[in-house]
Amino acid sequence: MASSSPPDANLQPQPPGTARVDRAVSIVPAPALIALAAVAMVASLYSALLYAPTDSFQGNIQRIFYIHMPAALTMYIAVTLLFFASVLYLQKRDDRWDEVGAAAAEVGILFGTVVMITGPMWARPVWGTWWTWDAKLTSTFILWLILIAYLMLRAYGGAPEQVARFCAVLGIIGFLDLPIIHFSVMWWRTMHPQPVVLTEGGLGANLPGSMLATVALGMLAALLLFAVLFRYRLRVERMSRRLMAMRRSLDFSQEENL
Amino acid sequence: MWRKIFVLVQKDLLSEWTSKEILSSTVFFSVLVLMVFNFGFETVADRMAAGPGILWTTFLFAGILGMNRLFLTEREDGGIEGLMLCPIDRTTLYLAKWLSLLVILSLTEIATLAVFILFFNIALQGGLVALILVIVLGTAGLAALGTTFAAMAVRTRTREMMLPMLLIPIAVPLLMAAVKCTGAVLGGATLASVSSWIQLLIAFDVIFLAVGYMTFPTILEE
Repeated sequence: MASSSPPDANLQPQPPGTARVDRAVSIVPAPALIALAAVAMVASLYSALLYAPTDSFQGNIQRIFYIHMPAALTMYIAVTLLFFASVLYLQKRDDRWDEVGAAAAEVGILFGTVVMITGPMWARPVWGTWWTWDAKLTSTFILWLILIAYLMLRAYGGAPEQVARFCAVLGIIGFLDLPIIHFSVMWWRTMHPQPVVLTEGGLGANLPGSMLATVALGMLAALLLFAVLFRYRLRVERMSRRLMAMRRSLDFSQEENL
Repeated sequence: MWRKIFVLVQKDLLSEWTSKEILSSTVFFSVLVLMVFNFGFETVADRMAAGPGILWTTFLFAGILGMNRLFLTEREDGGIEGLMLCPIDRTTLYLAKWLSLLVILSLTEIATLAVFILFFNIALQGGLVALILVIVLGTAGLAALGTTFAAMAVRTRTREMMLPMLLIPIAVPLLMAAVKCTGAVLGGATLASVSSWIQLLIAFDVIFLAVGYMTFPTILEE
């Protein structure tokens, strides 16, 4: 409840209750995390473009899958993080969880946008169409729209403390909507490739080992990139809130001088 | 609790009965939307194929118009302070507002349906009961989300702009299910042929009524 607490409380370097959230986001120190992410991304690109064999049916365009699928999974992970942050915010009313939610949603949109761009690039040559209302496309698109609505609510929601409450409610509703969306779009119609990585025969039963390794590497790179971006976004969020609190306290002191 | 809900709903409906502010606009708006859709489809076959979608789009648009007014009188005339001072649980207030909205949306939909049957020359082959069931299930879910989001939207800076942006993405599966079921009924099929969609509608209603009920006190905090 930033608005109700005295402005000075926000100027303290570490308000009480931050320790647990901070520990959760900083298991690995930042420079190490960035280095790891950079190495993983270069390795993933090398593996996707040069190491993995060319798909005999789709040709080289199939290689976009090594970016597309990890980005999609990472968006769903971001939304799961948003859900838990929303529940914890409503439970504990600790602003830190609101910050985690804000950062997760925004970075989640970024990965969703990667999915939305790489998907049509692949679909045009393989399916012969940029876009189709297939189940996985539709559900990912709707999730992306829900995240955008979440950011709109954050931007135009009103007082910061009210925005935090409303966004937490939307974060919970949006997450609970996901399974319902999944079933509805699946029953509507579907033409998306059936799962190739996690099949009934077990994990990666139908894939050559080199392709499977490339998928795993892509996933690792996407997750590490998410971790880096998420931490920076969280830092920016915290700094901008501290700045706002400082501005408010300056306004107060100026009013007193008049 | 039921008595309190009854009194609250009675208050909402009485004030609507005297002003007819919401119903007059939602019903008129529905007729306008149906007319515009009529021009959007050239042939009768096009119109018949798009019929269920047109009906639910009209319900949704008119519904959003009504939802935006749901908390406006409370907000503008200070009625919300009065309600907060009453010895009423805020969760009870949610159920009352949901019921009020359900009644208002249903009345709008009855009028819309009549105009729809007239404009689109629909022959209901004895499927009226099934159609009403589908509409009630769909409207209950719309009203459950609508009550939550309208209470939020009325407090945001952009107000009525915010409601459709929050409501429509979340309500997509509900609309899909409602359109599929309505299509089946208008096509002369039984509800048993779309039983999985009916189950989805019921699940949607139960989940978001429960979430709305639990989170409403959070939204009303000052």
